[in-house]
Amino acid sequence: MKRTIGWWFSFIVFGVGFGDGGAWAQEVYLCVWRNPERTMTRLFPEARDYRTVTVPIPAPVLSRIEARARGTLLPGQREQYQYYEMLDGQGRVIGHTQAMTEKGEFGAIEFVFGTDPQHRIIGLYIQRQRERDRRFREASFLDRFKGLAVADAEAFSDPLGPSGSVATRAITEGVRKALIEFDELVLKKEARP
Amino acid sequence: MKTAKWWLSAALLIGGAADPLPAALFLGIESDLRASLSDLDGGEASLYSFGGSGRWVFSDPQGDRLTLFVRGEWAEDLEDDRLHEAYGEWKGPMGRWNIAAGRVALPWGLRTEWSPDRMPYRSPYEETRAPDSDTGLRLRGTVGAWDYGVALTQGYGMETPDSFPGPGNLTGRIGWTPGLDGDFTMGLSASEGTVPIAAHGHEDAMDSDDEDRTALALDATLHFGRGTYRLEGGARHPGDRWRGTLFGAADYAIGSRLTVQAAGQAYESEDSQRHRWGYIGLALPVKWMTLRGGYEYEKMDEEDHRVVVQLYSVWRWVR
Repeated sequence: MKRTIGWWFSFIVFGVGFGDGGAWAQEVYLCVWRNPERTMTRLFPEARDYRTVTVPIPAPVLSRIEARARGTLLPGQREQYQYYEMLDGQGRVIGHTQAMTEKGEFGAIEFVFGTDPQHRIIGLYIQRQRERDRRFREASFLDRFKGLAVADAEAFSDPLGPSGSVATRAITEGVRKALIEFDELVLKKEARP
Repeated sequence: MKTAKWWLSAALLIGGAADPLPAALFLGIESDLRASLSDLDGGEASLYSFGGSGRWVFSDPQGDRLTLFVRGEWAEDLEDDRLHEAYGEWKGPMGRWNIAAGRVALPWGLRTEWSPDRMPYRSPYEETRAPDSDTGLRLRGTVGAWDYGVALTQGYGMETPDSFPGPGNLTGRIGWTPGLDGDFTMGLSASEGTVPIAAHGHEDAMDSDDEDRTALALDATLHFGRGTYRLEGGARHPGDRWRGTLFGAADYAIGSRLTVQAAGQAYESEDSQRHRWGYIGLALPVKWMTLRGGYEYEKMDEEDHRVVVQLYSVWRWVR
């Protein structure tokens, strides 16, 4: 009896799924950030601690984000947006950290970047990747993102231009999406009376 | 189970006293269907596992503070229920220290950051008596390139405790990740105390025995190019002599979605026999599941050749 129930339950899980914003993780580009504190400390050595913030993405906002970013958010990123507030000893926000995942040539590319209180990128690190092209890991490429602000995000394109690769374009697109998400879901929300 | 609930209740009380604010809720549900055909056992199919995990993070004005975590499964066609983890964890600044109370995952070897449980090949810990969790206290954290973990637990694993505080087990691991990319990690683990012989704590009273031993292990993980390579070598001394084990696993992306997987282990059993097994197969994510399958060779008392197919599905939800 238990076995029969189990099989039927599994078929339901496999075949139907769950509603309310869940996502099948095989096709999901959720960034499984294995050791966040190590990178956070590198980006914000003066931070005392951090706070996880998760924001739901309403459908109209999702459409706006994708239109501005000129790309669709990947499965697993379309329902919620997550970032980290970096805090000083008095609990004041001194910056933000975001972890993103984009589709590379050989699977997911996971990367992390930090922004200062003016929402400009201060550093970007690659966490996980399997790409053949190695240029996107070089400091000369990653440093091109420093200083990039939310206001610059829509116009920002691959720093390597036509000679870029799947990986460099993935990083560029991921950063653009993340900054626009932050603008739509956090900054614009804070600006509302 | 009762003791794990007690520890979790204590953690909830402590968390309530700190008046935290909810931060995030993470839920995961997974299903693992397998079918195999082997020389010795013939053909069989089963719901190998159905389970999931939940993680609830609370924050205070200074940051993330309390995490409540639970992970369990029904295995073997729902015949066997297993509570792997149920604990509350208090986080220190920037994760330099974290204290957990309850049924906690033990800091040991490759298992600190990777689990072989959902792989179609056998776990290297099945025959080496390294329980994945136990009930007690755990301190862990990350400081620069170093990460550490130490757990003082009852020594019952996932068995129902016979007494309090129990025979006791001390487990610890120190890890080193030199680069910020995390491409290479190595760790040294040590354990002294009692562990259950039964793998998941559901043997009957006659078989439910334990072992007082010292164990050591060295692990390494390398992400290089399109591959991920894992290695763990160790030994345990249950009072008479050392028994060794050596395990390796590799995943290599041969296409944008197709991965070759290989794994193998050589170990020494209780009767001083040397055993070995090896696996090679493929993994392919397809829509809402991952299809894995391959061939496994095993040499214990007799040789066994097995073909295994796995349908694995995981669903995640974040709020």
